[in-house]
Amino acid sequence: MALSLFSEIRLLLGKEWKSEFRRKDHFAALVIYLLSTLFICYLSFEKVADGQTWGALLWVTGLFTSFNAMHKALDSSHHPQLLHLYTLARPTAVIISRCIYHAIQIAALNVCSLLLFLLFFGDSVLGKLDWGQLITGLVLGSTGLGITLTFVASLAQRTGNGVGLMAILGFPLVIPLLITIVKFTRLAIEGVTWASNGYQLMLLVVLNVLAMVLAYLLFPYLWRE
Amino acid sequence: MKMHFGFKILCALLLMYVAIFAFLTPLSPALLQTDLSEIKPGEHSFTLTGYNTHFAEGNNALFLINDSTLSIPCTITEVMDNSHVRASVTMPNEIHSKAFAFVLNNQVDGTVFLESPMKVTDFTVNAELQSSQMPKFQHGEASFFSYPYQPIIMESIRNLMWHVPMWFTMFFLMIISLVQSITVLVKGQRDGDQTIVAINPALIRPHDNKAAMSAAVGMVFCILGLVTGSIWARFTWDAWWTKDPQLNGALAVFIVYSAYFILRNSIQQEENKWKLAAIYNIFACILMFVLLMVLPRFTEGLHPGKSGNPAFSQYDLDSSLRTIFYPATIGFILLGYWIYNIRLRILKIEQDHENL
Amino acid sequence: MKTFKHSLFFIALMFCTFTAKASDGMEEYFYSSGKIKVVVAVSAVVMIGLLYAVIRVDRRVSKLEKKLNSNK
Repeated sequence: MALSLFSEIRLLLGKEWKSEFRRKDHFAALVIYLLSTLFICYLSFEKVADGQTWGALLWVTGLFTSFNAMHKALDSSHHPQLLHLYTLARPTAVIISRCIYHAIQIAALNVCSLLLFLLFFGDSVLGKLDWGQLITGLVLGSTGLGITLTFVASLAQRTGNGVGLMAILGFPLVIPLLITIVKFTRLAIEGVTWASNGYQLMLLVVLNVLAMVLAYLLFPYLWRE
Repeated sequence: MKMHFGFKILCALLLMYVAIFAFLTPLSPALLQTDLSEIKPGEHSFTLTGYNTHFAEGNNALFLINDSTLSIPCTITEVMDNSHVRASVTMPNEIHSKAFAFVLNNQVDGTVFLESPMKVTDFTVNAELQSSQMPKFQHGEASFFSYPYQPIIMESIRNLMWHVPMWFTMFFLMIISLVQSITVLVKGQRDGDQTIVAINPALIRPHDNKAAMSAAVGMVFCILGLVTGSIWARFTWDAWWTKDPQLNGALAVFIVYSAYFILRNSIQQEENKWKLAAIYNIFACILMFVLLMVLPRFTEGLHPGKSGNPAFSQYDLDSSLRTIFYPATIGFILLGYWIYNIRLRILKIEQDHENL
Repeated sequence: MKTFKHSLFFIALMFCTFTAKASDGMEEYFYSSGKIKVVVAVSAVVMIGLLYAVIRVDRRVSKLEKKLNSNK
């Protein structure tokens, strides 16, 4: 069957969703992980007194949850159907669909995390918060994490020692993204205007595009055989 | 594979030149401090301390200038030695503003400054006030070939010749590594296009060796840059480690390349290793540029010239620094390339004899 | 793994020197005569570091020689 790249991506995404819905326990497990991480944070901090800690904690939790969410990318043996489709589709379609899927998944997890943060830590430090900026940051941070980690997971999977190498290879690569997103969130909580947060926003977009371009160019080399 | 002999000679000569002149070139004369802590209308007498100055060897003319519009002449009462002078000044009641600076003209040193060192009290501020004549800026023979004096950095400006070339060398070696990694992918791809046809090891292995060895030598320079930077930071910014984006970016680069070597060592099958290491290396090198060239420009830090060239644009203008700094950079790059070359040759012999 | 181990050694060395130098007398020493001692320390680190790299290369060559001789 000769499908266009776009329809291949759509097809793969559809299959990913179906398998996700068939196994709801997977996402539920991630939410439980998130909940317990946050609960530990809540118990260990007397209270979160300033916006900087609030933002940093949000993203550190987000980072760890994202790494956990990558288990599916590392271990696709759960989904024999998908594996078969992967061999048929072109590699660029595979990487794009996977990136989109994980970006959406991580964004959903981060939204859960944000809601839990509001529940546990309250919004006392968020008096001046610009919600538009926070949501934008959440989306861009999640897509950046999703793209980079999907790629690293595919790489780690090929080494045959996926779970062990994933953290070692992945953490250093997300450092620039994390620095930028934490600063963006801190400034958003401090209530600065869009214009004065512009550099961070631009950097986030650039890092996203860079990760996507690199993943798009390099994935075919990883995938062949 | 062997390096041309001229390279090695050039490298040795350049580094020798740098080692000598990084230490021998004097620092520009400057005024360090005064014991005058407060000025008000009336007469004051005080001591001025200079650094590398030649007070005893020329005629000194001292002024207290106010916003470069008002000049109050001081009388030099005693020249104690080359770096200490006693002087007195009679202050008028009216001043132009509260910003004062000492200006001392001397034939040997040229003009030296000391900006607003003291508290200003009891004056009437008159913005209209103006002197008919201001002290002229002079070039002295002592500042002809010398490093610029910077208040806190002082003599440690010479570290520019040791610390900064480490990063340039690292960049150079990592770029070699990047190019070789791309070659591994491109050549491997052309051969492996027909699904099962094996990659020709003789074609790919040399490039993989080059990528690995240049990154390994680059790591040495990265560590040296971090350690020297940390020592310099301790005596300039008063902390072994600071929140400077470039410093932390450099550490992140170190971690990224450590991960590259861990990745290399954790894969047994060679073809797989070449490909995966090359892919990760491309990511790592691009990240290095983001961390060291892009991020520092958008974050406030302690390194000079943060919004232009992130490394050294402030000193860039000074020709005396440049005449030592450029040779230092080239010399260290050649040295890095030399070490990389030797390690590459050793690795090749090792591999050849493993296969026998 | 070897490169990584050596890097770890280097970092350990770095922290050893840091903690050793933290005393007041040492601080005064480094700040004296226009901080020229800082330059001496920095250039010494560069020299020692490069020397160490060269010694490692030398050791590799010796190992190789031994191996080649035993093969004959």
